[in-house]
Amino acid sequence: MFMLDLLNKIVKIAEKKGASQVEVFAASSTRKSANIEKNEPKYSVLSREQGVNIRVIYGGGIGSAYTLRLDEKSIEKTIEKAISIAKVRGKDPYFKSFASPQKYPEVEGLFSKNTAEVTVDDMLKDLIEVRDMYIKYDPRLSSLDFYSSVSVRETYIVNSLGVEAYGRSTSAYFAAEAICEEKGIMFSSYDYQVERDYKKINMSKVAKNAVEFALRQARGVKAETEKLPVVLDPLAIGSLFFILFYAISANNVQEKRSFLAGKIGEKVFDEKLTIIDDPLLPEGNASRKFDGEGVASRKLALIENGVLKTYLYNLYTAQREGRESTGHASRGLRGEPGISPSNIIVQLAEEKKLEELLAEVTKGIYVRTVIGAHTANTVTGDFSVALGEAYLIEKSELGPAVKQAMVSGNFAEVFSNIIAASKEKVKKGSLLTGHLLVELMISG
Amino acid sequence: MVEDLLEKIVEEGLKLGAEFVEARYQDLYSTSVIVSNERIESIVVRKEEGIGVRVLANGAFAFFSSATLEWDKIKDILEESIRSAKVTGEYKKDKVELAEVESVKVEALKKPLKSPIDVELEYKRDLCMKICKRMRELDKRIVNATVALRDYLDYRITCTSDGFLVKTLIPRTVLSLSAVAFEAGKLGSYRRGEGASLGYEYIDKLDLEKFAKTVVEKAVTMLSAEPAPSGRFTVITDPDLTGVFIHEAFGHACEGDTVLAGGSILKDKLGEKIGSELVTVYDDPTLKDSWGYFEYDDEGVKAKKKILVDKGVLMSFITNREAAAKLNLEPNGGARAQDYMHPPIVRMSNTYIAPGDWSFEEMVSEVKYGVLLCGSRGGQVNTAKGTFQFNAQEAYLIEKGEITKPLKDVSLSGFTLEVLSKVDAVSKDFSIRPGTCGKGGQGVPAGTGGPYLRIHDIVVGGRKR
Repeated sequence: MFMLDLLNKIVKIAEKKGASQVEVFAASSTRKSANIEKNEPKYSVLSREQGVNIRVIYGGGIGSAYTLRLDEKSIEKTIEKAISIAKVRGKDPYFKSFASPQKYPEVEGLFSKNTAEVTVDDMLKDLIEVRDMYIKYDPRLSSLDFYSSVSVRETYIVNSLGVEAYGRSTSAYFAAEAICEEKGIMFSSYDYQVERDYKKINMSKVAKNAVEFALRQARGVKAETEKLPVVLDPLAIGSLFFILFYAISANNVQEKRSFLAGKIGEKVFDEKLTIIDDPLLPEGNASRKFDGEGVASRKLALIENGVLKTYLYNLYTAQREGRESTGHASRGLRGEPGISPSNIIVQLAEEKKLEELLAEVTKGIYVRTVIGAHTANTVTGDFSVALGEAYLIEKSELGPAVKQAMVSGNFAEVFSNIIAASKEKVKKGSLLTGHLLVELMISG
Repeated sequence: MVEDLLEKIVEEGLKLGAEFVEARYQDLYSTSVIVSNERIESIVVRKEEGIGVRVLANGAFAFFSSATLEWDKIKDILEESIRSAKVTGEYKKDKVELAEVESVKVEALKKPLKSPIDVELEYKRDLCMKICKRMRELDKRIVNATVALRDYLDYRITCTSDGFLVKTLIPRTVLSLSAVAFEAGKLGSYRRGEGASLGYEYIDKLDLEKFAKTVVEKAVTMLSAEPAPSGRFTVITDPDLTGVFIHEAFGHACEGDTVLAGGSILKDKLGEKIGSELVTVYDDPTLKDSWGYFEYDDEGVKAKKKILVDKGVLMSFITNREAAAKLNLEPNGGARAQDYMHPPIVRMSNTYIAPGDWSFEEMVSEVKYGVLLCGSRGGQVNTAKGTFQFNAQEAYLIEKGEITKPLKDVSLSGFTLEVLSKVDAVSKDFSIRPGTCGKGGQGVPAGTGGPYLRIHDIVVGGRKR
C-alpha cells in the first residue's frame, strides 16, 4: 500500500536523523454536507484532507509536527520540526515509549458503502423529501432547518516499534431544527441522529421529533424555585456527561483538575449505576479497533455499581503512573494526542418502562435539553444551566413547557441519588442510555 | 504566485458557469505552549496554507477547501462544487443575491513589532515556566497552575469575481492563566486570559506579576465560596460578564444570517425600543490592537463600527453581502471565516455595552439583597426563543449595600429582551476581554466587554433555596 510504505519510510528517515523512537499518524478524510435553512436549500460543502502527524522521541524528549503535503521536502521539514520541538521540550520525566505491536480486535460496521457512495445530489433530494413531508404539518411552523453530512475517513498508525495499524470508517449525521411562531412568540426544538450507515438515519423521525417538540411549547408555564424530581432525557444526559468525561480523563486527574482524583475504588455515584466504555460496539459511532496511538481497543467498566473503576488513559498519562494505556488516545492531524471516551453505555441495576418512570412522578419536570453545560465547573463538578426545553410531568405524560428556568447541582451529588431509570435505551451520538430520574434544584 | 492561482480559480469558475466566485488564501503560523505545574503539557507549532473557495451558481452557494495548491486537484473539486451549487439552485426558489459593494484592491497588513515567528520557542517555553512557577509560589494551596500561551500570524488574501483583491495580516497573542486551589476537601478554580492583535510587544507590556496574583487570589477566594441562592434577585455583572451577556444574549441575535434564517427574536424589531435607555451597544472591529480587530472582513468588505443599540433602540444588524442584500441593509463587513477550511459567515468582532455614569460603589450601595457576578466561563443562547444562559466564575452576595461573601458557581438565565429592559444602572468603569466565539462549527477571536450593569429581578441559578 502506498501510504504504509510512505509512513515506514518516514520512520526510517527520522531514525536516521537521530530519533530514538518514531510514530507516524496519518489520516485522510472527505466530507460532504448539504443543508436546508428556513425551508430552502442553502449550502453544499466539500472538503478533503490528508496529512501526517509525526512524533519523535529525541534525547528523551517528545516532539510532534504535522504536514498536509506529502512530498519529500515537506516531510523532511516536518521531521526536523518534530525533532526541534523535542529539543525545546527537553527530557520528559514520564514518557518512555510509543505503543508496542499488538493484535487488534475486529469491530463490525465501522465502514458503510452507503455512506461512502452517497452524493450531494442524493443528500439534497432526501432533505427536500423530508422538508415536503413536514412543511405543511402545522400552520404555526415557520421554519425548518436541516443539516446533513457524511464523511469517510482512513487512519494509519505506524511506529518504529513495529505497529502498523490501518482502519477506515464512515459517519453520517442528520440534524433537524423546527421553529414555530404564534402571536409573535417563537419556540423551537431540534433532534439529531448519527450513524455509520447513511441509510440507517431515520430523517423523517428526527424531523418529526423536532417539529412535535417545538409545537409542544405553544403552551408554557412558569416554574417555581424549588427542588424537584427531574426526568433527564438522553439529550440532556449527553450534555451533562461532558463533566464526567473531563473528570475521568487521567490527564485532568493527574493535574489535580478533577473531582474524581484519588477516588479509584471508592463509591462516587449511586450504587445502582454502571457506566461502560465499549469501543467494540457493532456500528457504534465511537467504535474503533485501535485508538489514536495504535493501542488495541477493549471494553471497560468505568463505573461499576457506583464505584469508580478506572480513569481514561492514553500512553503518556499511563506511563506517568507506570501502567498500561486503556486505549483512549484521541488524535487529530494538528495537535498532540488527547483523551476521549468511546461509546458510553449507561446501565442501572433496576430499570423500568419509561411510562412507569413518568408515572412515579406526581410533581416534576421532564428536561429534554439544557443550555450551557459547557460552562460547568469541570474541576468541582458544579453546574448551573438553563433549561433549553423542559415540560411539566402530568399524569405520566408531558404537560405544558416550562418557560424559562435554571437547573443546578453538583455532578457527583446528582448522580449519587438516581431514583429510577428507564429500560428503553436511546443512542445519541456515542451515548447509549435510558432516561434517568433524579432530584434537582430548579430556579424559576 | 498565490494571487495568480486565486485569479485562475475565479476565471475558471466563471467559465464553468458560476455567477460569482470568491477564492481565499490563508497562510497561518501559530504556536501554542501549555505548561501545567511546570511540566510542558504540549507544544504545537502550526504552519499551514490552503485555499477556501465559494462559488455561486444558479442562485446557490457551494464551498470547498483544499490544502493542496495543485491546479489539477483544485480544478476537479471546483467543477464538482459548481455542479453541487447548480443542483442546490434547482431546488431553491429564494435565490442568493449579494449586496453591491465597490470593489477594492488593498493591502492591510498589521505588522507586529515582535512577530510570533521571530520569537524563539525557547523564550515562549521559559516564559510559561516562569509564570507557572510564580503562581505556585504565591500560595501553597494552589495544587494546579496552568499557563497557556498562544500566538498567531494570520495572512489572508480574498479575491472575488467582482474585483476584490484584499490582503490582510493580523497578529494575535493571548496568555491564559488558570489556577486550582485545594484546602480541607474543597476546590476553588479560576481562569483568565489577556490578549490583543499584537505580537510579543503585547506580552512585554503585560504586568505578569499582577496577572498571576489576580488569578491565584481568585482561585483561593473561591475555596470559601458557599452555594448561591436560587430565584429572582437584583444582580450586578462585572465588565467581563457584561461582555459575555451582551455577546451571547444579544449579539448573536443581531447576526444578519441568523435574522435572515428567521432564527432571531430581533428579526422584526429594527427601530424599536428593545431595552432600557441606559443601554447602548456597539460591535467594533476597528478598535486599535483589540483582540477582535480586523480592517477588512473575509469577503473583502471594509469593516465598520456598528451601533447595534442606541439608548435602548435597535439600530442595525451585523451583515455580510448576502444578508445585506436580502434584508435591505448596508453591508458592514461582518463576514468572517475561522480559516481557509470554512466559508465566511456573519460574526461579531468586539461587542460591548457603552459605559454610563454610575460609580460601582453607588450601584452596590443601593442593593438590599442581591448578587455580584464576575467573569465567565462562557454561555449559550437560543436566538429564536431569545433565551440565554451564562455562567459566572466568581460571585458574591450583596447584603444591605455591602459585598459580604463569595458564592459558588452561579449562572444567570433569562429572556434577553426582558433583561435588557431591567437594566437600571450602568457604571463608568469599562473594559474589554478576549474570547473565542463559536458558531456553525467555527471559532473566531471575539472581544467582549462593557461596564458594570445592575439588573433587577433576574433568575439566578444556585443550589440553595
